[in-house]
Amino acid sequence: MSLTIGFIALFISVVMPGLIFQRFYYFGEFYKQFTTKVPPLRVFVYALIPGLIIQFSGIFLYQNWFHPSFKKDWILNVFQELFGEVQITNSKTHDFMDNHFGSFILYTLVVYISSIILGFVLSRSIRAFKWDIRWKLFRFKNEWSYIFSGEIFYFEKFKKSSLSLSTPNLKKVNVGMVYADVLISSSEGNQLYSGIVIDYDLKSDDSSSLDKIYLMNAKRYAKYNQDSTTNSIPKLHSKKIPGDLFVLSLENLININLSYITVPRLEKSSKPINGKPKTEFKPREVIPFALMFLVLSSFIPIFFVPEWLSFLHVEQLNFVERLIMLLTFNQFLWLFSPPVKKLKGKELFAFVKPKIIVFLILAVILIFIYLFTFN
Amino acid sequence: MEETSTNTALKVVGVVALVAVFVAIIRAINRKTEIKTISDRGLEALKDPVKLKKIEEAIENSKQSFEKTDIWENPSVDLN
Repeated sequence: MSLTIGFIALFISVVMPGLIFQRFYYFGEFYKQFTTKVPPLRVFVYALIPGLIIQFSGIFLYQNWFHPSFKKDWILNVFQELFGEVQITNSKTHDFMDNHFGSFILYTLVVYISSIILGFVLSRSIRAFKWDIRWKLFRFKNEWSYIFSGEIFYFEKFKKSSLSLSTPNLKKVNVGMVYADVLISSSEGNQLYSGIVIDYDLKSDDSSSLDKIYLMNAKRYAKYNQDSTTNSIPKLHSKKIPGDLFVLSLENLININLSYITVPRLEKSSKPINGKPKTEFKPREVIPFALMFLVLSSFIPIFFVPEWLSFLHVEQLNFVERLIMLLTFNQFLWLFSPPVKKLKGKELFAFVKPKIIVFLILAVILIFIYLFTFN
Repeated sequence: MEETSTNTALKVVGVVALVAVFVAIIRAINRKTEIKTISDRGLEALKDPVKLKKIEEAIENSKQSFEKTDIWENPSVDLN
């Protein structure tokens, strides 16, 4: 019984933060190495290391920031008494149960949320700064994701051999997709299939091996003799496989040959045309950041007025008036947004004019608000 | 300032907007940092029979060129 409860304690305190960290660290294609078929013991062991690091960091921060007199052996004593077979005698345990259990739950929640943030930020930083491409230490175990995406050609080893191999020149082009020729052994002899790779699965017991591959526009190859009466060398004849998606099991894979279909990179030109910079407007990319800027900058002064804003007497303004004030401020900042640097003279004025007009309108409204509010 | 129902509603709107922005940021970060087996442009092209034919032709051309010259050149397709 004590072992079971002790295990639960270990699970809640150490394994869970580790599992949460892993769930947010491995994302997208990299999460494929954690299928449901992975043995639970392996998942458990893999979760222990990040879980221990997170939990010890949490205790260290709690001790230094919130509770300097906190002693680590208190935790051990409380756990020993709560989950052991001995009677609760320690006053610290009684004190913990009576007064600090809620704090423990809150602390555990904070640790779990920290695991989410740590896992998310760490893996996205590794990808954003391309540390996994530069250093093997940060590389994700699912090497097939690097192979199929063509990112393998950014690895130092492949970069150096790019002259001798016909690797795609990734400075000018992007890898659009991969075309695979897959040779499979079967009872009828070797079978060759080819098609555009859409997706793949990894083996549950070996995350470095492929289990299945999903092909589109798939073809099957067969050998045939042009002249059956002579002993001529048989030629390969391809036949399209009817259907939308061809799922090929790679249990008996002999080899796989990949061809990278490259596409030219989209040109990013900021050269001004008729006084306006030529930029491709992508609302999906711009709107979230504009909203983020607007909301984050306006959230604090709208709801909780900090002291340093006291000279503006924001506390006497209502929600709409505060919003107009912040919009004016945001509009003022937009006047100095990056494209201004690239433009000169009339072009600059043509670009900035609408922004100035909006700013002036908002500024006039704001002046009226202040005049009416404080008169 | 006296708490009114309008202010409470606006606070809720503010919190919802903040959550929406937070989700949008996370999705944007994921989109920028994720690794893809097939690119978005490639996936779009597979839906278009004309572009799909161009891809097939590019693969065939590369294969034929390799047979003639013994030099492998990656198939290249302009999907714009």
